[in-house]
Amino acid sequence: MNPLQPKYNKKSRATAREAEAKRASFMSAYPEHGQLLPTQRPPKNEASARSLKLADQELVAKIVAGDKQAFAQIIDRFSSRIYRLAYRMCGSAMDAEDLTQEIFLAIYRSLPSFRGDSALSTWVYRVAMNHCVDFQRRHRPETLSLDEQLVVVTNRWCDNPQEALSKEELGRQIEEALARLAPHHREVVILHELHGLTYAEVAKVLQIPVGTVKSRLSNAFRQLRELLRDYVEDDKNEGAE
Amino acid sequence: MRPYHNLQSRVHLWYKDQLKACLDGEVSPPIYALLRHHIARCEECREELGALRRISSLLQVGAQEPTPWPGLASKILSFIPEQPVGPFNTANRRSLWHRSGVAVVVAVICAVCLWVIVKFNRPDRNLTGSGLQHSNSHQAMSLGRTTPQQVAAVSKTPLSKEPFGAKRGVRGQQELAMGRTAVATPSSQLDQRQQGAGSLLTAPQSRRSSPSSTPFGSGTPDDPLRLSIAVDSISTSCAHLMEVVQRYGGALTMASKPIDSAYNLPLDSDPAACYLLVRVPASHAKAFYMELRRMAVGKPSPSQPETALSEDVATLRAYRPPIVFVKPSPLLFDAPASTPKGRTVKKPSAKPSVQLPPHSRQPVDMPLANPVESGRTVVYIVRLHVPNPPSNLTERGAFLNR
Repeated sequence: MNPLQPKYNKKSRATAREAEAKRASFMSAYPEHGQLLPTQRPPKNEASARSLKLADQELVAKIVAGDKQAFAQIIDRFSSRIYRLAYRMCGSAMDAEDLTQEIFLAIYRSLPSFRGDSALSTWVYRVAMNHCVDFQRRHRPETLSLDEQLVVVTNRWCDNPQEALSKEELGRQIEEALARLAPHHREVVILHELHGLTYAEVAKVLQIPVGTVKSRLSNAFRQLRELLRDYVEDDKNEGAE
Repeated sequence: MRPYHNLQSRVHLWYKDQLKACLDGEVSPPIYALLRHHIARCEECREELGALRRISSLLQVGAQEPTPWPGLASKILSFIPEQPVGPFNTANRRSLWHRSGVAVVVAVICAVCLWVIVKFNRPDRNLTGSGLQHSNSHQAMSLGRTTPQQVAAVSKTPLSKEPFGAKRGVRGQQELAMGRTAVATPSSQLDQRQQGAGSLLTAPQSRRSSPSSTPFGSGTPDDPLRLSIAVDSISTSCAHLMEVVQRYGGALTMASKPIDSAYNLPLDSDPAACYLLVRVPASHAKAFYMELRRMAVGKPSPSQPETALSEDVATLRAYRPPIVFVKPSPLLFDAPASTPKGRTVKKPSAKPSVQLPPHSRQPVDMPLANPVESGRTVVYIVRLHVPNPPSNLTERGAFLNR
C-alpha cells in the first residue's frame, strides 16, 4: 500500500453520514420550517403537453390550408391575453386594440413558419412581444395623443364603495410602479406575474436565458418592494397583529 | 448595515436572490432544500420572502386587467385575407438569407479594402511628411548647408499648420513661465529650447544609443531603457517632468556642451534635440525611472508602437539603475535641488575650482550636495526632441557647434 496515499474514504463516508443525521434531526426539531416555502411545482404532465402540441400543429395545418374558422379558434384562445399584453406594453386601450389586430394579422401571415419546436402559446407571445417592442420604438412617450386622458378605468357598481376606491387607488399605484420599472424588468413581470408564464416560457418569448429571467424578476421585485413600500409595510403590520 | 460579512454575506445575498425563484417553484430540489435550511435560520430572508409574497398578491389583486372590446375577435377576423397563406417556403427564405449574407460579407470586404487604401496611401509623417522636411531644413540651416528653397519653405510655413502649434499661445507662454520658475534654469536657454513640440526620450546614462532620425525621435524599439513620450508641447512635458523630479527630491537642468564632453555624451547635431540632466537620489532612482517609464507607456510616440513599450517583466527584473557617483560640479547643476521638508541644504564650503570654458554658463554659487544624505545620485539623461523647431534654434545650433 502506498503510504503517501491519504485515507480519506472512511473519513468522508463518516462525515456524510454525520451530516445526514444532523439534517434529519434538524428537520425533525423544526417541522414548522417546512411551511415557510411553498411545495415545489409538480412536474408537468408530459403526455397532455404532447397531445396539446399535436392539436396545435393540426390547428396550424388547417389554417395554412385556408380554414378561416380554425384561425377564429386561435383568436378566441389568445385575443384576451394578447389584448392585455398590448395594453400593458403601450398603456392605452385604443392603441392596444390596434396593436392586437396587427399582432393577429402578423400571426396569420407567419403561421406557416411555426415549426412546433415550442408551444403555440409561446410562439404567439413571442410574435406579440416583438410587435409590442416595435410599437414602443415607433411611439415615443412624448407622442401620446391628447385623448389618452379620456380612457379611464371605471369600477363597476359594488356594495362597498370604500373598498372599490381603495382598490382603484391600489391599481393606480401598481400601474405607476410598473411604469417606473425598466422596460426589460417590466416585460418579465408582466409575462410571469400577470400572464402566468413559467420562467422557461418567458425565456423563450424574450429569447433570453432562464437565469436572466430569474435575475431580472428578482431585481424587479426588489424595485417593486421599494415602490410599493407603503402597501407592503401595511400588509406586514396587519399580519403581525 | 447588513449583519453579514465577507463570504457569509455573499452566501446570504445569493440566497436572497434565489428567493423569488423559490417562491415560484423554479429552483432545483437541492437548492430548494438549501433555501429551506437557510430560511429557517435567517430572519432577513424570512421577511424578504413575506414581502415577495405580498407583492405577488398585490399584483394579482390590484393590477387592473382590461377586458377587450367584445367585437374585437370578429373585427380581427374581418381583416384576415380570404386567400390561404400557403405553406412556408423555407427554400426561398434560406436563399434570401444567403443573398443578404453574401451582400453583407461583400460590403464588409469592400469597407476593409477602402480603409486599407485610405490608411496606407496617406503620406507617412515620419518619413515623407512635412515634419521631416522641416527638421532636415532646420538641421541643414544649423549646419550651414541651407539652400534658398529650404529657407523659403521654413519661413513660409504658417504657424497653424505646425503639428503642435496650438500650444504656442498665451497658455504656452504661461507654461513656459511655470517651467522657468520650477526649474530655475537660465531663461535664455529655456527660451531657446522650450518652444515647439516634441517627444521626450529618456535613457539612463549607461545606455546611450544613436540619436534618432525621425521627427518623433525614438531609438531602437526593442531597447526597453530608451523610452519615448509623445507630448503636445515641450513646455508641458517639462512641467510634468519637473513635477515628477521634485516629487522624488531630485533636480533637473539643461545639458550643455561641456557636460556632453565630460560625460561622453554623443550629442547629435540635430538642432531639434536638446538634453536634460535629471539627478535623483539613488534611493528613489528606480521608482523615478519606473514613473518615467509609465509616462512613456501612457503616451507612446507614433514611431514607437505601444506594443514595443509593453512591460517586459524579465527586463525589468534584470534592470538595475545605473548609479553614478556625481561629484559636485557647477557644470552639472546650477540650481539647488528641491529640499525635502525638514532638511537643510548645506552651504558650499568653497567655490568650485573647475575651470569653465568661456562659452558655458557662469557657475552659480549654490551647493551641489545631494538633497538626501546618502550622497549617491543617479543621473538620467532626458533627450527632448523638437520635431518642428522655431527658426531661432539656429542660434542654438551655432552655440552647439561653436
